[in-house]
Amino acid sequence: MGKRESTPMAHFVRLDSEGTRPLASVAVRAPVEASLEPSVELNRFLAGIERRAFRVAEMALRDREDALDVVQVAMLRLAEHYARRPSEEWKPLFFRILYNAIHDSQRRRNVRSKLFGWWPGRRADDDSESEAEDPLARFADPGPDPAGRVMAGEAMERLEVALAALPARQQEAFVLRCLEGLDVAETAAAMRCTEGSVKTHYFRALKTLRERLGEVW
Amino acid sequence: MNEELDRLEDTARRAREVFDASVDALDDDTRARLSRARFAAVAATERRARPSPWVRWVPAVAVASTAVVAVLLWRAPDPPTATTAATAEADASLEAVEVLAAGEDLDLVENDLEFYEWLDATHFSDTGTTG
Repeated sequence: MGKRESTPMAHFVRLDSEGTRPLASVAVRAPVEASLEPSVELNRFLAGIERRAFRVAEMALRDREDALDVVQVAMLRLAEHYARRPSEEWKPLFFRILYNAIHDSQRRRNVRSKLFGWWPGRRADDDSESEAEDPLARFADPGPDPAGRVMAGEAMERLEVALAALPARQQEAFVLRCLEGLDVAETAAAMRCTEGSVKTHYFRALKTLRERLGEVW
Repeated sequence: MNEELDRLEDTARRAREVFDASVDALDDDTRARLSRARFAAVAATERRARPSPWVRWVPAVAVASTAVVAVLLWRAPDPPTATTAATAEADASLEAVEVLAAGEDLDLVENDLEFYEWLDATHFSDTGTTG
């Protein structure tokens, strides 16, 4: 008598309006493939990475609106061109796209700066709303431990300043390896360079940051 | 040397903590805008996965086009070819030879005005009567 194959259970989760917190979970007997539909998988992947990607972009661009724009562009490009690729490839692909978008934004900003820099009474980056903002104002309500939150905000500000002083490739290697936790091979794929280059960039970045931040951290 | 490596590891760990805290502290407006951007991206994926409504008409249009071409080819008259023109010329020559070979009295025909009148009336007039 042939052994009957059991059909695995698939769980469908209804999310809240932000798409992050589950409101209800329904388990149905269905092939696993049904739950691995690209759009569902992609939504889950992007939900897990969007805020970190935003902070990465904001650190690189030092502008909230520009950061939101490049994250949106990166999400759309990943969805349009790579949604059918295996999901384990998405993270390095996403960060490669994100950094390409960041570089495009920086180039546009440089062009604007050259074109309008001489204009009297106007600075090239005047269109950024956050220019006069207090750098700590973007952090949410400090909550029950305001002093701790403020200190964390100051530490982040120092890290951003120190990171911004690094060469671009060292910044990328540090962000991807240290902050995003990509392994060497994934970082190399995201940066389109060899694994040896990743190790070199990352080590130099870490050493410089240690020298600049070690005393104050 | 180990102490230096430990310091580097401390720096990396501290950077991760500070970065994670800044991610957790993002304001609601930023979170909402990121969510909207994500929904737009996922919707784009679904649009690409779904075939265009026009695609369903492609087989019908292909069959109809094939049928029209087949009917046109079937109904179209054969174009005049070099072969049929040569055949007509050969037939005319044969008629001339046949007339000559019949041995009829050509003088009578040549001098008979009525014949010409008839010929004119039957073969060159608009009426086309054969008399």
